[in-house]
Amino acid sequence: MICARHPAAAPRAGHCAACLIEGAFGEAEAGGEVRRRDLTILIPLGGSRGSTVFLVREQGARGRLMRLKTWDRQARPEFLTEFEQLRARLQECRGAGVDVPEAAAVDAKGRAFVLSEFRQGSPIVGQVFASRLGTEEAVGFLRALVVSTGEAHAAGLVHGAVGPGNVISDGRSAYLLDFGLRTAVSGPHAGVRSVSGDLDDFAALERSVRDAVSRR
Amino acid sequence: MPVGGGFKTTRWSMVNAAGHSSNPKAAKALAELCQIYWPPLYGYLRGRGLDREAAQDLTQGFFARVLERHDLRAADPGRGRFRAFLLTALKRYVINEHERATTARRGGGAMPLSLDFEDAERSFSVEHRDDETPERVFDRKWASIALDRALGRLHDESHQTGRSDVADTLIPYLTDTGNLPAYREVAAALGLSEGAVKVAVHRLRQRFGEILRLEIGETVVSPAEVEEEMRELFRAVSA
Repeated sequence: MICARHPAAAPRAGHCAACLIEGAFGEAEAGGEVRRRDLTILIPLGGSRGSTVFLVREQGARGRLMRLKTWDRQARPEFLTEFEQLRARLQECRGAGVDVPEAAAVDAKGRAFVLSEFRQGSPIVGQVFASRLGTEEAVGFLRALVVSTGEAHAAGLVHGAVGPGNVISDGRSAYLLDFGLRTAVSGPHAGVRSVSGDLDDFAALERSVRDAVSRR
Repeated sequence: MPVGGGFKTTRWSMVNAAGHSSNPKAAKALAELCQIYWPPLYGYLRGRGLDREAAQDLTQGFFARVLERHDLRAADPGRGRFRAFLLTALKRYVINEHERATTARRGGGAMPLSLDFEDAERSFSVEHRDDETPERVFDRKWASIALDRALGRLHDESHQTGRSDVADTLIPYLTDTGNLPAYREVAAALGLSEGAVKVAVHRLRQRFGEILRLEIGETVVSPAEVEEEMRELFRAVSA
């Protein structure tokens, strides 16, 4: 018996070894690892069509503030597998400003949760519009992200959903959030853009920043 | 004694807590862990290209040293996972043995563990891939043992607490990929409602996850390490 999703995994008593561990990770109703961390949702940070982002606090001694993203639609069955692979590969190429998510789970209805480090900041475009960040500084931050993203592309990783809401700045540098999550959650045909598409998006973002400033 | 904020004492945390002091309970816990998880070491040695006899000699010698002489110092277990400790200790042992250039079979006393090398060799031959590193052989075998033990416990529990026919029919649904009969058909065969079958499968999956975590928990010190260990084992079996 060879599992179509994990062809390298050896069977154990008629089960695919990888599917067994994946199922244990999922533990759908319990919310998997995300739930076991005993998170308290503090405030919604925002969202888009189909997803919501919350600021949450981890219970326990450290009580870290974290970012929890949830999706309204059912994730693909491969989500947890692909999430783990994505996470491992992002850790390997770890470019400056590219966030590596910490954990994921799915709920009883198969909807995905992803837990990441919370970054104090807001979308870089909004900061420029509000004159809280200079144009040159913003472009400098974006250039650094383009380099990091290029390194990820070279490693075969694509963000898939670069947009103004995913590029934030804390005033010292910029961060690219949710790298590769759209593909992991919704699949390669869910509006994921090509490598060049990603770079075009960055260019468009830079242009929009410049245009906004020149209009003022 | 609870370890790590309510995490129950595991075999490995007990061994760690005992350190180098003589503690019969810790020695027993270590022996039990070694009895469960020795085949990955044999697989590692075979994966390094050693022939069957040499791998058996080194495996026996290694455990004789660890268990009979309680020689944990060389490996400095400190804090960490049993899996990492065992592999590090074996690597050091192999280096020392190589330096001594000895291939003499361990002998003298009775072997502290019952090691079925025939079974380990069969398993190695069936599962070994030419492109695997010895470390990967070790990790995959380790994961296989944890999964086999968890499946065995799930099977035993299900038979003790419920209808055996229901357990036997529904356990394959732990990893259903759509090739098994529909719940409606199974429900009719078992004399249950379709909803009852769905609930039963869901509970089996949840219970399997709990049992697997318990199994893995025996080889780590803190609860936070269980998830990381699961992630590493997942990578080992799926790559």
